Amino acid sequence: MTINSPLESHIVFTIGSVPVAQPVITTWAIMAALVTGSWWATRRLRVEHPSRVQAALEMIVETVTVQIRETIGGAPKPYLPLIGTLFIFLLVANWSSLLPGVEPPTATLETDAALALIVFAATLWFGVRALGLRRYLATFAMPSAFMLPINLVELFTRSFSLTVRLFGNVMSGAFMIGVVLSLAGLFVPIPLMALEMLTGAVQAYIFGALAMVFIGSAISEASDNQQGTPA
Amino acid sequence: MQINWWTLALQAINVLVLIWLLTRFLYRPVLDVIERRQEMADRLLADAASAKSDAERQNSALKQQNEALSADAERLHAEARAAADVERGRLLEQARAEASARIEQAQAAADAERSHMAKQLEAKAGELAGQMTEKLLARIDTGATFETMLAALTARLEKLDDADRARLLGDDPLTITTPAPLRAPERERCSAAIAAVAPGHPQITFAVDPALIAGVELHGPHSLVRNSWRADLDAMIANIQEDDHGERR
Amino acid sequence: MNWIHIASILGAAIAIAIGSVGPALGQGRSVAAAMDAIARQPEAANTVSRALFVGLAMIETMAIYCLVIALLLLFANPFA
Repeated sequence: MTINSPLESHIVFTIGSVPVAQPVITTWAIMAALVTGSWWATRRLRVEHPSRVQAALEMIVETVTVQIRETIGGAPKPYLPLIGTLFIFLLVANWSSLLPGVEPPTATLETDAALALIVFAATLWFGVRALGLRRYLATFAMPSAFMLPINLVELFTRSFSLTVRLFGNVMSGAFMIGVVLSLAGLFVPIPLMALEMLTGAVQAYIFGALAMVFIGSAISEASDNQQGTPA
Repeated sequence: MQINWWTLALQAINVLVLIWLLTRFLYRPVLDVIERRQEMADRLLADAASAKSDAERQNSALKQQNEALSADAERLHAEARAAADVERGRLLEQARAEASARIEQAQAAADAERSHMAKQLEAKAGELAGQMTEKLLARIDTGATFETMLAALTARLEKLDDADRARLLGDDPLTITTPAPLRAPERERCSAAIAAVAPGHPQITFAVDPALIAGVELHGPHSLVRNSWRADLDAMIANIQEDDHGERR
Repeated sequence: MNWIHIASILGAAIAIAIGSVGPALGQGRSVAAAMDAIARQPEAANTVSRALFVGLAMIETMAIYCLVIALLLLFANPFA
């Protein structure tokens, strides 16, 4: 029995000196599907008497908006593209393992690291935008200067844990299904695949929720600060 | 194991591009629609609110108008009542005045009637007294009274001053009236008495008037000397009536 | 198959075995606490379950770390 290492991705081809791996191609396919689907779904939106597809789209956007408003607070519009895209992309990518022969792009470390990197950059960006550079940097020394190294380490470790959590969950699921598939065959992997669907959805939700929590903590340290200062 | 940095970079770019594309194709249109729907709902709500406030304003205006109208009605009512009061008072006053005037008139009429009646009664009484006296005296012989009445006539004629006597007697024919025809000696005595007062008087005629009861009267064309019981009775009745009137006033 | 391979396999098995115990206990406790909270306040079920999912994912990360270590030992052993 030979099992390919889940930690390595297969290079399909190279453009010049740029190697294009299998997950990148899968991601492109997912992107194409998502963009085409949303273009098709938003082709004719109507204010009155929305179609079923439109109602579903609006429900998704509304749900994400409500979640953002509850977690981050304030107007959800600046955060909606990031959070919504993270959620939708992760959901579709995690569930893409259901298609035969498709390995989900989130089961590779690079994709998850790229997502975590984007969340990291977004946290910094929104924090600086909300507080200004100086005050945002000052929040790392809160509540005291001793916390500075811990806060800095936390900044990186939480991105790392974000990466590894998503990678471990999706990869292990895919790996398990692969192992069981190689052992048993026909109907046995179906419960595992159902579990994998649930895990994929939960992980997509958790990734988005954690991104919201990070951004919210980055921009709300201002209000905590202002509340704490007089006391 | 090693991280493939090219894959990482490509995936990061992929996700960023996906974010941009989805913003372009999904979030913006859907948010637009939601916002437009919200706007429409807001507009509808605002319309409804403005309509409601309009209705309320109208309602209050109507209420105000209603109050004004009712106040007007009350005022008109009060005015009408006051006018009616005035009118009634006037009518009452008029009626009262009319009634009192009528009463007064009736009283005056009654008074006049009564006085008229009294006068008539008195006149009747006087007449009755005259008739009674006449009847009483008719039983006395006229000759018995003739002497005294002639004496009284001569006394009155003598009492007249010259001017009056001249105007009375003058040259005109005189008539001596008695209740009963005189006998010849009595005529002569009359003529003698006249002649004693007015000597040379030419003509004297004699007349009879039973209404005199008793007495001798001297009639000239312009003058008259009343010297009879009839005259006395008349004078007495007139006197009584005047006294009555005087007392009543 | 040298001794490094044997040690790697043993290490992977021990890492998964021991690394699963702590998160399992923690997840059990947090789910029990969440159930309790929902039973006390059913109207807060949404908030509680959201916090529970996030917390469970956090705890599960520990086991996932162990799994990653095990897989590294098995497939990407730097000493092999």
